[in-house]
Amino acid sequence: MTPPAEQLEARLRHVLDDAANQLHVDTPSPRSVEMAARSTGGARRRRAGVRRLELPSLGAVLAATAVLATAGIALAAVVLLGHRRAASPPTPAISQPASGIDGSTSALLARVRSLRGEPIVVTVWASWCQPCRRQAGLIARAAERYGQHVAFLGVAAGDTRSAAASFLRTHPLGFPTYMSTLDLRPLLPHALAGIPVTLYLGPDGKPVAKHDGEYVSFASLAHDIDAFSLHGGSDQQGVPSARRSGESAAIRGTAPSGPSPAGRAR
Amino acid sequence: MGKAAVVGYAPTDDDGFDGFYRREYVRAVRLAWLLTGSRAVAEDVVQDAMAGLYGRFANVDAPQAYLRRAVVNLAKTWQRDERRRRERVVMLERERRPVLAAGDAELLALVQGLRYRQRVVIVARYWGGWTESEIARTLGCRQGTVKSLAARALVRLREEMTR
Repeated sequence: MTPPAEQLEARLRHVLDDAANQLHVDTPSPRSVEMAARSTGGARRRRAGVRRLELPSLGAVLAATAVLATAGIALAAVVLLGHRRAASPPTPAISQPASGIDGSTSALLARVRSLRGEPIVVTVWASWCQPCRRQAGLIARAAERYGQHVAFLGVAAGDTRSAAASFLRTHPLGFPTYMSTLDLRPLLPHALAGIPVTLYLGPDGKPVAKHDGEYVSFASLAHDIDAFSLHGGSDQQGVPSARRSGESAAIRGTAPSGPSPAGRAR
Repeated sequence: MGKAAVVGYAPTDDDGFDGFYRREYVRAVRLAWLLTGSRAVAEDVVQDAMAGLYGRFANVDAPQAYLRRAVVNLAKTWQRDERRRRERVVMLERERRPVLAAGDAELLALVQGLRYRQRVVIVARYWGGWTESEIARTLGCRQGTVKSLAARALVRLREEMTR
C-alpha cells in the first residue's frame, strides 16, 4: 500500500535527521583548510591579484599611495622595535626544533625503534616535489585525525636541510621529520625510485606496505590508514592502494612477478 | 543545533573564517554524507569546499549559500570520480552505517540511490529545511524545476517502498 504523502514526508524528515545525527564528526583545525587553500589556490589567487591591479587610473594611484604610506610606517616600526629587542634576551626554545627537522636517518631509526608496538605511517617527501606540496595538507590532516591510533613520521629525502625547514614552515606537518637520502636502508630493503612515498610500518618497525606517488584525496589516504590501523598494522592486506602497486610484496620479502627494481629486494 | 540557525542566512560571520568554519563544518559534512553515503568522501568534499571559500571569504556575501553550493557541486563530482574508480563501494563497506530501524535504513538507501538532483532536493528540503528558492539557487535552476524534481523523487520513493 502506498504511504500517504504527508506520512512519507514526515518519515523522510525523521530518517534523514536520525541518520545524520548519528554521524559523529570531529572538526579539524581551520589550519588544515588554510594549507589546502595554499597548495591548490596559488594560481587562482595570483590571477585574482593581477585583476585587482587593473584598477581605474585614479583608484590605482590612490591605492599605490596608501600601500606606500603603510609600508613606510611599517618599516619605521620594525626598525624601532628591532633596536629595542636587540637588548632583550632571546625567546626561550620550545620542544620543536627551530628548523622543524628532528635529525637524520639514525635519529629516524631510533625513533622507529622507540615506537615499537605501534603502527607507523612514514611520509617521504622533498621540498622540490610538487606532488609532495599538494599532498602535505592531506597528510597533516590525517595525522590530526589518526594520531591517537597511528604514529606519523616524516622523512625529507634528497633535500637540503634549509629547503626542508622552509617547506615545513609553509606546510607544517605536526609530527617529527628527519633528513635522509632516497636510500632508507635498513628501514627499506632497497632505495626509493621516487617520491612521494607513504610507508606503513608494522608494530615490529618493519614495512608492511608502501604507497607510491601522491594521495590525490583525503578519502583514499584515510581509506588506507583506516584499513592499516584496522589490521593493527600487522597485515599489508589493509592497504589496498599499496597492494595494487605491486611493491608491497617486495617489502615483505616476496619477489614480485616480472623484472622490476623491487624484484631485487632481499 | 537548531535548524533555524542554518536555514537563515543570518550574518554571523563577524568572527571571520575560523568562526564560520567551526560553526558550519559538522553540518556541511552531514550534508555531504547524506549526498554521497561516504564519510571519507564527505570530509574531503567539505575540506575542498572550505578551501575554495577560504581565499575569498571576505568578498562572499552569503558564505553559507556559497558553501552549500560548493558542497553540492563537489559531491556530484566526487560521485562521478568514485564511480569511475570503483573505490566508493570498498569505502562504504568499511564505514560504519547508522543504526536505523529496518524500514528507515531502507528509506535512507532509497534516498541515496535517487538521481543526484532529486537526492539533493529531498535532502535539502526534508533534512536541511531549505526553501525552494534556496534549493533553486544551489542547483542553479528555476523553482519550478525544484518542484518537479521533488515530485518525481517522491513518486519514485513511494513506488520503491511498495515493491
